[in-house]
Amino acid sequence: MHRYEVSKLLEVLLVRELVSRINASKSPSPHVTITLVNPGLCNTGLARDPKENSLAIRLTGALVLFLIGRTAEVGGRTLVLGAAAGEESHGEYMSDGENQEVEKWIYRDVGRKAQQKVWEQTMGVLEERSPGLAKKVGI
Amino acid sequence: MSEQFTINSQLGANLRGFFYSRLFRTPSYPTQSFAKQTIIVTGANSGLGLEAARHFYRLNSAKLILAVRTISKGHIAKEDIVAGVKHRTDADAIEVWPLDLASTESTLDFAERVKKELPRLDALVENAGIHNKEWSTSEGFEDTIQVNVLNTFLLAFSLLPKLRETKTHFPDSSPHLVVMSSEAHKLTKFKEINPLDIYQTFNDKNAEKKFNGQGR
Repeated sequence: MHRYEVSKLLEVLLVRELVSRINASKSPSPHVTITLVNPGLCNTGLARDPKENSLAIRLTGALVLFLIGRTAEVGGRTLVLGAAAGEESHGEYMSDGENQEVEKWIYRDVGRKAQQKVWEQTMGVLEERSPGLAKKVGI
Repeated sequence: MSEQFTINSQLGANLRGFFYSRLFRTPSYPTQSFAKQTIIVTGANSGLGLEAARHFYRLNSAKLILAVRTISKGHIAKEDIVAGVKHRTDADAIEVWPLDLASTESTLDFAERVKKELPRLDALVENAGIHNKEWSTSEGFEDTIQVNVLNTFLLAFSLLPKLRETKTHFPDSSPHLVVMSSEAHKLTKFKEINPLDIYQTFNDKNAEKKFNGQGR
């Protein structure tokens, strides 16, 4: 399964679309700074795969995590820096505690179209779960 | 199937960036005060969520909500945090609340409780996420998408009005919504965007295998 990567991409697209809609709103609401955070590869339970059968892959994975994986404490800092981020990080993707670019195609036309499609279909699902949601958020 | 979306990721540049970041950059040790602030951390009983919660308590957050699937694990995390922060003894500042993002009902109940019980919400830190190796579903949706995306955003949208309201009632607040993404977002060719209904595709086990076989 390679769903994790897609789920993290969907989060990037949805936050970017949310922020662009909020910024375009004609009746601005009180400001909330919204940021995406990249913790970096961390040596936590999420990165380890107890179900991996190959010993070679498990050992390689453990070695990589040991050599360059961050501790959970260092990775956790990125969340705290996100919660203390300034206005300039609104709608941005923060890595190592500062704004960085997301994957390049997301800025192109194909990215904008994909972002729209993801937004519309996601909001369709969420409206079923909580009718009137988009209206309450003003998006 | 025609591909309306042609997505190419920059593997070489990403790898260089990844190693550069890991070898030469470290996020700085947080020092900003979170005094007066009410903060929610989802998935706060282990890993990054626990460590972030520990920082928030150390940095004097007035109220810290550990949102967790398993309450007993949340209480262990709470005790661990309180024991490790020497300048504070107010364990009451930390509360453990149930939240299971696989369940829409649990997510909406959590949001309602926040609106009802918390006078203010200064930061919603959406750390919780899963990295499943095996296929599983909740409410008909594949779990990674259900947890990391759908109910993560259901919670965000449900509480955005509360964050805004906090700014209105407490002008010194600067409310934040933080969503834990990852550089892993660069690693997918995102074939699932092409079919007409992307969520139908996400919930189709055979489609996952097919797209996975196309050279991720």
